Amino acid sequence: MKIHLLLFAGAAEVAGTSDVTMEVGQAATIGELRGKIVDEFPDLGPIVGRSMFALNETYVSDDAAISDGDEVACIPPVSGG
Amino acid sequence: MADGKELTEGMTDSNVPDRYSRQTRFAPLGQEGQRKLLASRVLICGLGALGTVIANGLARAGVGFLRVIDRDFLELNNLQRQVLYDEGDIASGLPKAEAAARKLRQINSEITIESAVTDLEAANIATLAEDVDLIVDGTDNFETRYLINDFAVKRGSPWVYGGAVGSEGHVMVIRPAVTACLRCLIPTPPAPGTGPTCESAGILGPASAIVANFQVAEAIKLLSGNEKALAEGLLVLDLWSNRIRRINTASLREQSDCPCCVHRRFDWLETESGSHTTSLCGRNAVQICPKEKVAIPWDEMAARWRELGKVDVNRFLLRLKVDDVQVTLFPDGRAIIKGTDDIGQARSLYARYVGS
Repeated sequence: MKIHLLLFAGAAEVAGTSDVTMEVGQAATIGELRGKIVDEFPDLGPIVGRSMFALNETYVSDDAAISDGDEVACIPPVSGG
Repeated sequence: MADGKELTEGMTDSNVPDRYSRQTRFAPLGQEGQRKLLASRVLICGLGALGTVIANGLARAGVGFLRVIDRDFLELNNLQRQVLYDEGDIASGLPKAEAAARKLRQINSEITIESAVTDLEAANIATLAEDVDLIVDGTDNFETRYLINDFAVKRGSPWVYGGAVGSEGHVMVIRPAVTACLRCLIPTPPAPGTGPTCESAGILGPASAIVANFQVAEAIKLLSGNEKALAEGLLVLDLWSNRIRRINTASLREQSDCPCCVHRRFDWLETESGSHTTSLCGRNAVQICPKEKVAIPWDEMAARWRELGKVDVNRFLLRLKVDDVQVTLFPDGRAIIKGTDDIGQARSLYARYVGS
């Protein structure tokens, strides 16, 4: 199944893109998706580890299940001001 | 109906000055909301890209008491986005808090503006924040935000988180016992130096301004008794890729095992206060705070420094430029050493020029 991954802030900067369509296995969770993102973009390792994840605009923890067509946002903390 | 409106124009309630007429006509606020704003007290922490826009907005809106604090002095590269300052302020060598307070008093002389040139820390947050209704975040680092969060959760009072970098920003209204807190959202503070900062990734003026104006709008709703209109969850926006998402955080509060708002452990508030040294990320500068506040013998120090290098002095700060280093000293002994990000080297420069 396919999901639509949005990368924000430092994650988008490091990956060089802010918008990715990813193929994930059935019954995948957000936790597994974190691993898959790092497989695809190895430089994102540290950022993905400290990022929040939102599934269809709702904050979720790593055990949340992903469905086909979902929008997943990877949101690193933003500290500037 | 039109007649009724004509009659009230210019003769608003004696408690509500006419200068606010354009916002009191906005029905959800009205005269009653304005009276509440005028009776409100707000602490604005940090007077950079966010804080100046926040202070500007709340002063114009007629929040009756504003306490504005910042630890830093002005630099020319601030003017691109920090709306309260101009070239004259930089020429005067003023700290941000003083320059901001002067400008805010010109904007609205009918409200009370209090300013402090200081770093917000566990030792002084109670003094600076216990008599306000709301804290609005204009800081540029997570250490201070977790401290604000600890204080607000412990006291049960609201605060408005804002952060901006590049073309992006976050906003969240944090109401203890009603919403998730900062530590629910981000359980482990990002280690200093791991995330992009305004110095490393840059910052667009409109990005910080829009984040700050979201904060101002939420502050006005909260203070005027319009809690029902408050934005829920975390606002995430990116002006460059044209994305705005409002992240629902309701489940976060329900499932949270938060050390701060569930277990009431206030790690930043209960930290041992005392001497501390902070590398100001990406700025090639280090801040040093002495263990005890001291009163620097101002004229004596200025005279001593004049033998060592170029010295600028006013009532608020004393600055020495020597070799490639710039030491900015504040009257209570706090200093910002520019020209190094090495804490050890900064401490030895402090010992050499200020004393240990």
